Amino acid sequence: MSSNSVIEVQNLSKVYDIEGKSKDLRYAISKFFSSKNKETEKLLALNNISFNVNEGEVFGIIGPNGSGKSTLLKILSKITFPTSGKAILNGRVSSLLEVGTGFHHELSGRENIFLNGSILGMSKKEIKKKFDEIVDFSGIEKFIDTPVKHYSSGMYVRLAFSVAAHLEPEILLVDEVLSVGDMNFRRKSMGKMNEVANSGRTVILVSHNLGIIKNLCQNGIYLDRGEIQSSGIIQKVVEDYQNSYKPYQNKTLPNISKHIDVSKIDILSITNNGSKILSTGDEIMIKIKFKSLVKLRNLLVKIIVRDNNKQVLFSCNNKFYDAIFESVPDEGIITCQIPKLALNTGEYSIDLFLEQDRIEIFKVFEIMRFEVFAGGFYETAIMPYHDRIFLVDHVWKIE
Amino acid sequence: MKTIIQNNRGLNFKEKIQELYDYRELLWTLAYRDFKVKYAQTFLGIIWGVIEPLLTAILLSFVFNRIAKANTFGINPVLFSLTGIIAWNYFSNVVNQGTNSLILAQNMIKKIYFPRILLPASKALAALPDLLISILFTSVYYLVYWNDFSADILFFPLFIVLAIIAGISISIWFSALNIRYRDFRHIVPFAIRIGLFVTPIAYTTNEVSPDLRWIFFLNPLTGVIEGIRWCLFGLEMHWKLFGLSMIILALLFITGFYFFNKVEKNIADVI
Ligand SMILES: Nc1ncnc2c1ncn2[C@@H]1O[C@H](COP(=O)(O)OP(=O)(O)OP(=O)(O)O)[C@@H](O)[C@H]1O
Ligand SMILES: [Mg+2]
Repeated sequence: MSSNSVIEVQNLSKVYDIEGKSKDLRYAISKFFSSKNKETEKLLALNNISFNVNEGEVFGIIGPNGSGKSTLLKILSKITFPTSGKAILNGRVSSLLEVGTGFHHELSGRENIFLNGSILGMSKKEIKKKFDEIVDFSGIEKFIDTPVKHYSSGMYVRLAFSVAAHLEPEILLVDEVLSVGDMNFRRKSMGKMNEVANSGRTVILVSHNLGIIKNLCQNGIYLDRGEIQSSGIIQKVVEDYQNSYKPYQNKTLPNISKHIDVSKIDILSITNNGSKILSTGDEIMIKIKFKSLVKLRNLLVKIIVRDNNKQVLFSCNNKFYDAIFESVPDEGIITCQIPKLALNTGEYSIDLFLEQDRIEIFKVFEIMRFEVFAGGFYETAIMPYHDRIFLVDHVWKIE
Repeated sequence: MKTIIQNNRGLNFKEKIQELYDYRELLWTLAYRDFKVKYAQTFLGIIWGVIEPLLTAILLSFVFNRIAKANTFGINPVLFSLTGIIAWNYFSNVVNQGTNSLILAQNMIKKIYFPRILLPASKALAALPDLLISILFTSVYYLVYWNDFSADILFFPLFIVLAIIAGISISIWFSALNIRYRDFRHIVPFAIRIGLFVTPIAYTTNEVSPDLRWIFFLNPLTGVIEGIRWCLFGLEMHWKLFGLSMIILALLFITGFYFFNKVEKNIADVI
C-alpha cells in the first residue's frame, strides 16, 4: 500500500445469487412453510481482486464480456455491495456507467441537464455555472428548450455526454461511454477525456477499445472470469490480454468431403503479432489447414463473410486475382491475407467453399465465427457508430 | 472525503440522516420532474387537482348518502365527502405512484448510487401541489356551506401532516415489497379500491356498532379523517381509538424504514 494511493482495493469478491424464482409470491410462501433451505445457484463474479490506483493516474480495466468489469465499478460506486473484501476511496467519487441516466423524454434539454446533473451528483449551483459550457459542448443550443423525445438519438447522446463531461470529481469511474455520437463528437469526447486524464484527476476506465485504453491509461488490470490475469503497465496488460483471449469459437469441422479434409481454420492478426484477437484496421490472415484425400488440382477457394444477421458482407476468392491453385499438395495450409480489416466492431461468421474444376467439393456455412474489436483503422482510433458495418479510407481537403 | 466500501457496512441511523440531507437537492429535482411530467401533456393541467376530488365527492355522496342513507349529521353531503377525500386522494395517489417508483427507475438504480428512498419520497412530494389545491378548493366550499367554526380548526394542518406520513409509510412498505415479490403490484390497486370503501370518507364510524368500531381504526386513515371531521365540524371523536390508529401509523412508519433499508441493500442486483 503506497502512501499516495487514492483507491485501494483489497481482496474484493462478489457472489451473485441466481435465484430466478425469488420474485414470485407463490415461491416465497412455499419457502416460508417448508423448513429446508432451497439451494440457490451462485455466481462468482469477482474473485479476490486487489489493486491500487495512485493519485492522478488513469487506470484501465480490460477483459472479455462477463469478466466482471462492470461489477467492479458498481462496487466502487456503491451501487452494489461486495460479498467480502474492502475498498477505500479517498476523494469525491463520480461514476459514469451510462450517459443520460435519469433523462426523461417529456422534459426539455434544459430540464434534463439539471436533472441528470443532480443525479450525477452536481449541485444546482455547479450546474448553473457550467450550463452554457455544457450546452455549447453538446452543440444543440437551438433545441435546448425542446422536449428530448423530439431529439435524434445522436443529439440525445451528445447532450447526455456533455453533462457527464463536465463533472469535476476527484475520482472518476467510467464504463464504456466514450463511443457515443458521430465521429466528430467522438473526437471531441476523446479530447475531453484526455483533458480529464491530464488534469490530475484519478480515473478508472473500462473499455473494449484497446486503442483508447493504451492511449489514455498508464496502468491497469486484465480480468477474466472474475480474476485478475495480468496487472501493471498497460502495454503489458493489453498484450497479455491479446495473447490469451480467444475471440471466436471454432466449430468441430465436419468430415463431409470425399476430396479434402479441412482440419483447422485460424484467423490471426499480423499487426498483433499473430494474436487471435482481431481489431479493426489490423492486417489479418485466414489460415486453412487441409489434407487432400484425392489428387487435387485447379482449386478455387471462396470465403464468404456474414454479419450476425447472416447478411452477406463480402467474399474473398482466389479467382478474383486469377490465382486458382493449379497444383495442390497432399497436405498444407491455404492462407488468405487481408491487409486492412475494414469491419466495424461486432461478431461475424465465415462460410468456406472449395471447388475443383468448377465442381464443388467442400461447402460449410458458418464454419467459424469471429469477433472484431475496436482498433486503429483511422490514426485517431476513432470508431464509427456501430450501425456502420464498414470503414473506408478517405482523404479530406478544403480549398 | 474518504469512503470505505465493505460488506455489511450499512450506514448507521445518524449517517443515513446526514446522507438524506446531502441528497436533498436530488429529492427536489426528482419531485419537480414527477410534477412536471404529470402535467406536461394534460390540457387542463393543475385544474385536475380540483375536478378529480369534486367529482369523486359528488359520486360518493350520491352512493353513500342518497342511496345508502349514511348520516352526515346535517353537513352538506358533498362538503362532508370532500373533507374525507382530500386526505384519501393524496394517500392513494402517493401509494399508487410510490409502489412502482423503484421498478420504474430500475435503470437508474442499476447505474448510479443515491439513497433509494428518494424515489418513493419524491412521489409524496410531487403530490403536494395537488393536495394543496384540493385543500384550497375545499376551504371555499367549507366557508360557503358551514358557519359554526371553533378553535379546533387549528388542528387541521396536523391531520394533514398525519395523512402525508401515512402515504409515505405505506408507499415505502409497498415499494420495497414490490421489489421482493413482483406480483405485489397486482395487489395494490385492488387494496386501494377496497380502502376507498372501508375508510370512512362519505360516512362516519359513529354509525358503526361500538364493538366493531375498533376494526375501522386499524386503518390509520380512519383516525386521520375522523380527526379532520372533528376539527372542522365538531363531530364526535373516539380518542382512544384514534390513539390506536396513531400507534399503528407509527409502527408502519418505523418498520417501513427498516424493511426498506433491508431491501435497498442488494436492490441493484435483484431489480
Ligand atoms: N445482477 C446480477 N445478477 C446475477 N448475475 C449478474 C448480475 N450482474 C452481473 N452478473 C453476472 O456477473 C458476471 C460479470 O458481469 P459484468 O457485467 O461485471 O461483466 P463485464 O465484464 O462488465 O462484461 P461486459 O464486457 O459485457 O460489459 C457475468 O457473468 C454476469 O452475467
Ligand atoms: Mg460491462
